[in-house]
Amino acid sequence: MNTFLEQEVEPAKVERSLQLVAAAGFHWIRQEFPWEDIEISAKGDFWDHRWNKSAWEKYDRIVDLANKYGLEIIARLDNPPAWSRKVGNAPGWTKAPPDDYEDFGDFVYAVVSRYRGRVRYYQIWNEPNIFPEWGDQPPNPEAYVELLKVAYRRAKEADPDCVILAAGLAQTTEMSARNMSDLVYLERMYQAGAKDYFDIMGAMVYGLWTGPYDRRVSPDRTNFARVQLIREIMVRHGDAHKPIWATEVGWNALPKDFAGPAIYGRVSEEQQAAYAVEAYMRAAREWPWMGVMNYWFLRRPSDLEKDQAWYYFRMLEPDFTPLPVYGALSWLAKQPPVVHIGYHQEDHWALHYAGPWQHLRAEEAVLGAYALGREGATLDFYFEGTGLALVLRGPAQLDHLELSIDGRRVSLPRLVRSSEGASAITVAQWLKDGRHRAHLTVAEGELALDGLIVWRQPPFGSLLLVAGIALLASLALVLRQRLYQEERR
Amino acid sequence: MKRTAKWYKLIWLVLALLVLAALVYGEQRSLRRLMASWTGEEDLREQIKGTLALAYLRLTRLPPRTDPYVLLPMQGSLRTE
Repeated sequence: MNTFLEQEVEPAKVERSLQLVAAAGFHWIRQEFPWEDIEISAKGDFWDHRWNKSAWEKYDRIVDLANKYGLEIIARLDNPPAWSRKVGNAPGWTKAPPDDYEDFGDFVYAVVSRYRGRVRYYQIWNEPNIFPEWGDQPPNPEAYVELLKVAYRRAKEADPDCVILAAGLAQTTEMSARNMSDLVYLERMYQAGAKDYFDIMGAMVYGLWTGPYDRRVSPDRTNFARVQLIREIMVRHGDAHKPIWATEVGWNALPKDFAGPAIYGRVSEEQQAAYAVEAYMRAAREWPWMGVMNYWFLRRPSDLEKDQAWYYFRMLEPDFTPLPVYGALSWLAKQPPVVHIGYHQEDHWALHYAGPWQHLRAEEAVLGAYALGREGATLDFYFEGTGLALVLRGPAQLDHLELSIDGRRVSLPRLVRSSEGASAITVAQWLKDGRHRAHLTVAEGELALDGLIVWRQPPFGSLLLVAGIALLASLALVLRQRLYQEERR
Repeated sequence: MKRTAKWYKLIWLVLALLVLAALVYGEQRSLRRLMASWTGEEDLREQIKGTLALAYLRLTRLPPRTDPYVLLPMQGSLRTE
């Protein structure tokens, strides 16, 4: 959930916002920590001289309250102070990068070391591929990568456990002096050596003019599905093992009487709510490489920007009145967790362990950990797909296992490959595509579970579409041929 | 004789088209739902255009390679955040 808590004048409203985020069942907030608001007047000066207090005070409060409500923060670091640039805050330059990237590195070090152990996720910059986020100059992916390298190095120096997100690139097809296509920009980022300097890819995943089920994927189209092209570039550059986190996602509920142009598309508030739910569901069902999705946005402190289209992405009114999208996503967040398609670890949040299980760390395990169950241990979960495989450690232990799916006992394969490493063993396939309940019991001995894989057979919908069009074309051809023959006769 | 056969064929064709039209009319709600699930469009004209565009894309471009079954650390949880 994107928040603007740093703009709240009253601390009580910060707390109220976070209360509502937690009450809705959301778990993450993406919150800006603007450099210009922390190291305000000069390098190394973290004092707010205007109000004569520490510039950290506001951000300490946000972090404390987020911790209090069990919320994880993604801290967005950008927005340099005027002193960091020769041009200062000249029009068009207020968000431009600093002249010396090491100044930004020092700021990153200061923030990450201050919040070590309390904030783990940091995102470096925002939409550097469009104006005004890189100042009044052409977007420069190579320069952004240099900045990212400095930030990554300094953040890891401050906290080796921190996780760095690359900036979410604005969805655009434009190639101009001020804006660059996100796909071109990302390609050039990789060519400039970005690969080793971020842990998670950020992405803007707006639907704009169409709903979340728009399946048209093309570089000349900006829609919800476009993120698959970002993923494709990552895969091509050997970064398939990194997830994408949606930096921003949402639809614009622009009122009918809004005077300006609908630059982000236009939906009703009810549609906004329905689309948001469908968007999260589609990502969960179809894109296992998609991680946290941050809705854009929770609330603005006032309605001063109501003459601007972007104001209408909001989830709460400035007086905290919820819009339909808040209730809809809250409903979704409270649904029973499901394991969707993909290769998942044994600590997936939808897995319910009961009885004698131990969660152990082991270097040789996949991602360094596994779950060891002893006689009587049970595991319950819902999964959605057409097939399920268990990833087991060591010699296959299927003889120790009883598994039922949707209440029916599954006969497990007897002969399985035995190995010291992890083995993926198919326990169900060709199921009906939908939600299934799995119940696993360790009947005797031990079971070392190192993950599970859920998959779905390719849907027939698109095949049907292509086949239908091919059939119509063939019919037209046959008919034409017949008529031609008739004419000749 | 030839002319009669031609008329018969034409009648059959018209009848087939009428049956097809009736089917489309009867199933228009599910057809529209299906087209919406392909195009994300609400308007019928946009749904038809979008379906044709999707078919064209499917015929001319390979689907993006996204490697969905790769193991991903730090996947987060797919909650509504």
